This record gives sequence, structure tokens and C-alpha cells, in this order.
Amino acid sequence: MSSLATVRNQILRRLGDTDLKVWTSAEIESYIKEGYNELAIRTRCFWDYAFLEDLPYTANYNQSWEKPYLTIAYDQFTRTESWEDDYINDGLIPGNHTAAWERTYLTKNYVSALSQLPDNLYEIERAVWDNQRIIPLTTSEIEAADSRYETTEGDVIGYTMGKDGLRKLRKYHKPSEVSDSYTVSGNWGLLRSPGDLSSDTPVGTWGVMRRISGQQITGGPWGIPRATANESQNMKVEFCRRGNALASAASELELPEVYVKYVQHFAQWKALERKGAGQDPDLAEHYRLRFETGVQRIRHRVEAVRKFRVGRMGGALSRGGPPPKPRLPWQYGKVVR
Amino acid sequence: MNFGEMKAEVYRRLRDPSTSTIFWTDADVAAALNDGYQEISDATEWYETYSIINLLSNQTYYDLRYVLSDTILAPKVAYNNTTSRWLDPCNIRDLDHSYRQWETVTSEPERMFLRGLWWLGFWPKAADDDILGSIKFHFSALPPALDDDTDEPEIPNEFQIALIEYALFDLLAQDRETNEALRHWSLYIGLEERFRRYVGGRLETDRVYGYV
Repeated sequence: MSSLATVRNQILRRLGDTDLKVWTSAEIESYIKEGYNELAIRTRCFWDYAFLEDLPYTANYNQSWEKPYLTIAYDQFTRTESWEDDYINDGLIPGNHTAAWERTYLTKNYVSALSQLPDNLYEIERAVWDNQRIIPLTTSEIEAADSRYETTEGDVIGYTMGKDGLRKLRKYHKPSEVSDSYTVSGNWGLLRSPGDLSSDTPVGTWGVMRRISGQQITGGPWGIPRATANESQNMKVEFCRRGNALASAASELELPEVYVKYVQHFAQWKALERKGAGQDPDLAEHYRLRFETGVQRIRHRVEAVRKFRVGRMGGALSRGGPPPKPRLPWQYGKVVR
Repeated sequence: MNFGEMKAEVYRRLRDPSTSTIFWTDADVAAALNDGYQEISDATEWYETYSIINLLSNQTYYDLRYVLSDTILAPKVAYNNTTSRWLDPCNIRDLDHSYRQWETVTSEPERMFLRGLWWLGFWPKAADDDILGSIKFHFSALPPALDDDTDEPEIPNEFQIALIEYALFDLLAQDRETNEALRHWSLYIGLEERFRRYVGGRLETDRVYGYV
């Protein structure tokens, strides 16, 4: 995969400005980032999933500014009992413990119906609870069905994103039980033994685990299992997201080379379109069209498997023109024995 | 036409003698030709190959960038080596409507679906057995880049000129000869379209009978 610096240098070479006389590195990098996001949003090519676990609300800080200073940050703490809800309208629920290990000892579990969605989420594709699809609901639908939907407890059968903020998801019903979860020894570090999660016998005698049966790894193509979740009695959202953040020049675009080229076309379009020295409207339009063509190609490929009901090789060219003319059956008017 | 001959042809058309190049370096021309080779392959998906995907227990999704390579363009068809059956492409909507908890079913895969651009899913997922099967997976990909002067692109001779037209566009665009560059681009696009029809239409008809 290409780094931000590599793509930037390729663009500058193609623009004939390796000496940075016309465009600055920062300007080209901003076009690359814009194109990278544009490609992700328009093609929905980055698929991922995350668990919004039905776990007791663990809270260990009072103000949001404290969060960056914590080694392990859970959620924000504002109250400890449910009767206090009527006096505080921050949308949070009571937190009656400060660390995950305390959950085993709780007599009262406060499981939140509200979940914070991942920061890089762009659009939810599908949500499941206990491996069954749950339905998205508008607030008016849910209000009509159950006026006490914010507090009614039960299995999660739907969700809504209507009124609790842009990156909040409300489960319906409010989970009545704590979800099944694995018990892992320790609070930090790498998973070293699969014994807590699976009965599989590890291959090899040393090193870290690369894969655990039943645990799907998403995100980039590399890495090791880090967060584990039990799918039963638990909520999972499948979503399309943005690409990884391009925080530094060494950051790699999470795209194969062939698609990095489309981002490059976007950046060349923007650079050549800009008024002033170096402007070339005709060439800018050319690269704009190539970026659009790239977007169409990716969209087509995302849909490819669904459309390939019949195996078809080649460039998946759909046959143009009208369908074949209707014909009489082959035996029409003939004596068939 | 091999890679060396193609480079010489590009120099000739640029009127830049290849023996003592004045403006464009050999690396510039080689990069432009390879870029064209990649572009026509991306547009037409002519390069078809297959790979064996070894099934993993209890795993629904496979990252094709990792399992195959990041040159993959589009999945085509897949064959279960254990059951000797072709997998049925489907959408997860079909599965949601048919089996409420389809993600928990384990057996030999019968269907496949794609999530995003790289996540290939199989249903049912492979069971937790000692012996796990494999899937023969056909896909289109980018061909290996041209490197040695003796390398020859695998596309038919009559379409190889497209690579030269693309290289001329690319080099002239870098030199801001915009009108001339776009003229070569339109020539390239014409050839690309013809090649796309050649690749996409090869299984559908023959010259004598057409559609019967």
C-alpha cells in the first residue's frame, strides 16, 4: 500500500512541480485526503463491523476533558442510581462501578440503550442482535408502537438514530440482560492463550495468536486479534466507514494500488483546477472524468457478486440494445414424435 | 510487440531518439507504458486467474487483499473443491429472508457474497473440523507489470497499440501539451472500448450464427 508521501510525490512529478514552485506539499496532501474520503463515501468500499455490547455501564471519569489522561477510559460518570435520571438530562445512565472487573460483583446492572457509534462510521449497512437482523425504526414509528420505548426492557428487536445525537444509536428494547461475554484473564496486553475463548488447540508453541476460531478480524489486512466479543445475545453493526486517518506523511492509504490511482486523479483534478499558476481547465476536466470513472468501477465491483447470478467472465459488459426478439417454440407447426 | 519495442515506438512518436533521449528518461516511458497496461486491465478486466482459498473454521468473511493479493479487481466465480459444486452468488438480504440466524450455520459453503470491496463471505461457514476444505476462486486482476525489454503484454497484438497511445497521452500531459495529450487519450479510449467489447463479448456469439 502507498504512503501519503509516495502518492504526493507521484502527483507532484506528474504535475511537473517536484521543486514545489507552484503547489505546496500541504496543498497536495489536502487534495489527497479529500479524494480519499470522497472515494470512501461515494463507493462505500470500506466495510467493517463493530459490537455495541449490552454490558453494564462502566464509568470512570466525570468530565470529558479527563478522558485523554486515562490509561483505560470507559464512559462518563454522572450518577449512580436510576432515580437520579429525572434530575439530570445528559442522556447518560447511572454508572455504579468504575472498572470492568467489578461487573461480576454487581447486584444491579444498568445497561444503556444508547450506544456511541464508531468515529469512522459513515453509514450502517445492517445490524444484528443475537445473530438475527434487527430493523431500523424512525422515532415516530417507535413512539407510536411504544410510548415508553426508552425504558421498556427486553430483547433488542430494532434500533433508531432519530433524536439522540448524530453518532448515537438507541436500541429497542432497552437490553434487559447483560450480553454473553468472554472472560479473559487480565485487563491489558495481547491475547496469548485461546483457552478463554475457544477450545481450539493452538498451532505452534510460542508467539502471539494470529487467529481464533469464530473471531473475525476486520480492518486492515494485517494484524492480530485484539478485541473479542461473543455474538450471542449481543448487538453487532455492519457499516461502511472512512479509510484510516492519514495523520502523517508515512501513513498508508488503506487501498490497493489500482485504487490509489483514482485518489491521485482527484488530487490532480483539484490542483489543475485551482486558479493561478499551473491552472489547466482542460486537463483538470480530464482528471475529474477519470476520477468519476474510477468511482463507477468500484461501485460496479462492490455490486459484482450480487449481479453475477450466472457466471460471467470478462469486463462484465452488459449487453446494450433491446432484448432478443421473441420467437415461436422450435417445434411450432411441426409434427413431433 | 515486446516492452523494448514499445518503448522505442513511444520515443519514435515523440521524436525523441531512444539512443540518446533528450527530454524523457527511460524510466518515464516505462512507467507511462505500465500505467497504460494497468489502466486498460482495470477498465476491461481481461486478466483472469484463480487462486485456492483454504477455509478456516467458523469464519464467514475472508479479506481478499490478504488471502489473494492486492491486485484483485473483481471476483468472478467460485468452486467448492469438497462438494464439487459452484457456489451460488447471493446477497445477504436473501440470507436474512431465508434463515434468521444464517451466520451461525456451519457446513460446506454453498453461497458466496461480497461486503465492501474486499470481504468475501461464504455461507454456510466451514465447520470446526480437523479437515477443512478449500474454494477455487476465479477473479480478475491486474497482470504483472512489464519489466524486461523482452516482456510482452498478454493482450492481443492488435490492441497493444493502446498502451503506446496511453503512454503518449501520459508523457505529453506531464509536459502540458494538453491538446496533443487529449488527442492521444481519445485514440486510447477508442482502442480500450474495442478491447472491452472483445473481452466482454467473447462467449456470447459466433460469426456464422449469431444469436439463434
